[in-house]
Amino acid sequence: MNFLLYIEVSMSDNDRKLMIVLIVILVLFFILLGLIGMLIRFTMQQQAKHIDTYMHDPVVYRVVADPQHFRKFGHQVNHRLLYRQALVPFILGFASLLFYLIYAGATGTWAEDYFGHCSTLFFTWKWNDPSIYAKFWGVTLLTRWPDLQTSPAPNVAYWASYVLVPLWLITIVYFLVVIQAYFARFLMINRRSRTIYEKSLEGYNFYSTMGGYGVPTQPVNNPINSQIPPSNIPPR
Amino acid sequence: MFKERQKDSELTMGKFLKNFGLGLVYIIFLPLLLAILVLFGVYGIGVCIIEFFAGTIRFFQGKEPFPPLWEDAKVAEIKQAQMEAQLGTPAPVAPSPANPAGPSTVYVQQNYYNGQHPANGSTPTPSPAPMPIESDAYFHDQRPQPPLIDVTGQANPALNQPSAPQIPANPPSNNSLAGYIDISSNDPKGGSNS
Repeated sequence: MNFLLYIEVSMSDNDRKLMIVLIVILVLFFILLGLIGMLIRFTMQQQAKHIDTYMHDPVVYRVVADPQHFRKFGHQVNHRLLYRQALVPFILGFASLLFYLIYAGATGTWAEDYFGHCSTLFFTWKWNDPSIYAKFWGVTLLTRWPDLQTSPAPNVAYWASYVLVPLWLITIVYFLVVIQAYFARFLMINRRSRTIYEKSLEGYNFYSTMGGYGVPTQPVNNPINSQIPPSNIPPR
Repeated sequence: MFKERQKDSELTMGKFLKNFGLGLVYIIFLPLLLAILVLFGVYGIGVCIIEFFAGTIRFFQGKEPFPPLWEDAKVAEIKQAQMEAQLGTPAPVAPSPANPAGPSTVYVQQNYYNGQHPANGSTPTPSPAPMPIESDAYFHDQRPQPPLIDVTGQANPALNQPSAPQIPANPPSNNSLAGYIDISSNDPKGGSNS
């Protein structure tokens, strides 16, 4: 309480308003980040479930019967899935590279500002205007939204940038999503290899399973999928 | 059920604080997460290059670029065996032809009659008569038949092949035997005659 009083005394009215705004912005920023993180996590969970489609039958039919084999088989499947999914961004990237080489070779301009040219399609603001910033306890903060610098003005001379930059961005984002799915499946394979071969003694009592003459009885619960014949494959 | 969903969708203070805390955690671990993503990206590019070359080499060796893994093949085999066990049919033996048909295989159809061989002039040894079962489920004997005289003047000899005897839809009645067998004397239930 004394700390708050100290802040109350030492800050001017303008500083106090600025601090309240700063706190609200920070809280909203963290909440937004948390929501984005939760969205990414949910997406990864959905992507990870995809590996179960490929791992289900070999496990249920007892072809894959131990954690090491499960991981090995899972990673082989995961590599093939990655290759198949990454074909699209690779083809896009290769096409953009080919386009760039042909265009730059034909025009002789190998170091153009493609991203700068592409920004002519969007609004730009005067972010370098010093009057929109203020110092607050040594930290530079934005005090107001900057003025508009340029409106969208497409230029025919920049047509190559309008093709190349979207191609590059799509390729990068697509490949990142594919890698995220690969990472999610990688984690799921490791988790499943630990859980599906797990033996638990939770709820088990040694003496409750003894017969009348000290003979252990069979487990009460039959194994799941008992109708499936055992595999003839020797253990690896 | 509906109330639970409604409760989940409500924005409570706990959820607000949880999102806030998660945001803080993600901010702190963002460099680490990005580094892991970049590492996996580089590793993924390497995996893709290796898979590409492995598939290409297999393709030019005349094999399938990405053949099914042996685990998947084994599962398919077990499923097939289960299906056959349920249907009660024996498992078919996998055909292994010594010289499988391919694009370079040449089929030669013999269009000459069973007489002299045009190549060496010798009479070929008669092969054992086949026992074909036609699509009409009748057995057709294709051994040499006595010559037929074509009186119809049709050009196509295939139309003059003897066909299988037709089974009448209505079998002959027992009345036709009435003159030969005394049915009434053997029938314990009695016949129509007294």
